[in-house]
Amino acid sequence: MTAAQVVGARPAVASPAWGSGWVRVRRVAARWGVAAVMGVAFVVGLCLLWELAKLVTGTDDSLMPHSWAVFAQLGEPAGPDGTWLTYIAENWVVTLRNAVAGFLAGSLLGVALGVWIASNRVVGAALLPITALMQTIPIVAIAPAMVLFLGTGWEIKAAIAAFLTFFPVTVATAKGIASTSAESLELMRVCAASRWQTLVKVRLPSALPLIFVGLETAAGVAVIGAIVAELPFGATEGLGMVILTSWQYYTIQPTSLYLAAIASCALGAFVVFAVRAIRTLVPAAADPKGA
Amino acid sequence: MSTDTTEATERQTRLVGLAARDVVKTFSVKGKENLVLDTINLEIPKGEFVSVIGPSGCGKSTLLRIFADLIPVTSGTAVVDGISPQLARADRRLGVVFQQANLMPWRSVLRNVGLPLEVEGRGKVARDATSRELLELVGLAGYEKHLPRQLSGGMQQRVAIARALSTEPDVLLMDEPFGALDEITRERLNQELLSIWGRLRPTVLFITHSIPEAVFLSSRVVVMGARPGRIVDVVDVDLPYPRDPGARTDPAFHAAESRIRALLATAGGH
Repeated sequence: MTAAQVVGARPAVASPAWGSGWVRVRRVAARWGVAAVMGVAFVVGLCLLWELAKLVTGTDDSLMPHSWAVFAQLGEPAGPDGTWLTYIAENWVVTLRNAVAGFLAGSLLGVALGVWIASNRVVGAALLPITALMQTIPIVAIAPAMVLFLGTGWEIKAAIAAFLTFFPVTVATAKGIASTSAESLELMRVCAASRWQTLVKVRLPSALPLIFVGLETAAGVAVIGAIVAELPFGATEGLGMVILTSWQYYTIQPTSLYLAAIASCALGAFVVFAVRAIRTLVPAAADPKGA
Repeated sequence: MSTDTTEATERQTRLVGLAARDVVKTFSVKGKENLVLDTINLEIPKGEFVSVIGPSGCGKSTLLRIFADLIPVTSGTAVVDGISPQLARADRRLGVVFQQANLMPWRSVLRNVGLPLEVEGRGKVARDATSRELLELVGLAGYEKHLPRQLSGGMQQRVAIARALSTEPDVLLMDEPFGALDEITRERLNQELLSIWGRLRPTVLFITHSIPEAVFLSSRVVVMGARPGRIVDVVDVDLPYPRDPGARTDPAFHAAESRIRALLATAGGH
């Protein structure tokens, strides 16, 4: 049912803001459409700048290939069974799986930890500095060590993505919960609500706009974490591996490195926009200022 | 006991809605004790509508928060519906309406009204049925699916009143519920509140800054003074219920108004 029909049926009352599921799906689709158009425009603009820089500096093709050559690379054969398109796509999906698995695990951990920090001052004072410190650990440095301990399975790469994810989510959750209005908490107190009810019905929904800010930040770093995890240890699959091998063959075929880099950007954008799309489906996650 | 016998008997025969007995409240600010409520004594029988009026800083909100069990007394006893505020709150006998409607922005109007019932563990069908009835009572039938931000301030406050009534409270505590509304909306809501009170008959403690509002709604008006917060006097309003807008022109209405105005002039504070 459309908004117009609702108004027609009950002229005295304006239509509710949150329409049927179909209206919401259409809104998300529109948002994705705009994002896709903007994305294409961005890529075209970047290519133009690239070509301009190449023209002005007169850089050689072997160092700075033409932008169309990078995309033409997609059609060329990569190994015995497939083109670069299928090769990149296969590894893209692998890294996507690692990043998403890590992102989900890290987010759950982050929300749980954020709730714990917000609900207990002693825990907050003890844990927040530690989580901040953990964030300063250079992941590239310890990743090989983690692989020595834990093996080269995809779970380890997901774990590294999770490690980078949980911190922004933890901080956002703790801040969001702490920002719950005192009046709402008093209301729950008057209703004799339990701690759990107050958390689920008021604190977490109030924190959702901030939690989603944390999730969007985390989505980007989860992808970086997943790619970095594939770099150092002779991985056999994933975008990190593609970047590493392409880098080794840069002087022979520079286009493949750029292709891998573009694929990585696309992966990051995909995950971040997926989080944004989910946000539009959750009424409580909308920015209270309407942004 | 210093109270005389006739008053004591009367107190026994009528059930206590709200009572304060030698209630003192101090807040310490930077180690300095600040006397906010100085020996408050107040007795409101069950089912009565009483307003509290006074200058800013006279502690009227503090008194309400003590009855709502949001803050403890420093000394003395507060009684809500014959028992302590703690027990009354745990037993869900309280309904509170604040100056801000304080609705959950992500919940529909219907689900906002049903929130206390949800906390109580009432099933969805019963919850929605009660919420629908209450929305009709406050004149918001048809707005069930709306979000709070789609409603005007007056409509939001009606939702807050419906929510406070959802658990059928014996005691309704209202902290300047219409303070942020324009005069026209305020007078209309005053009328509606009275008709709701006439039907459900909870004990009401109504805090306000408006003298006509206090007089129109209540059978008694508690006038408070500031620094320290204390009760200056209690003014009876000799107007029978049910009251209609015509009551505002009644000589008794003006008499009560001028009496309160005179008391406030001597009450101090800002």
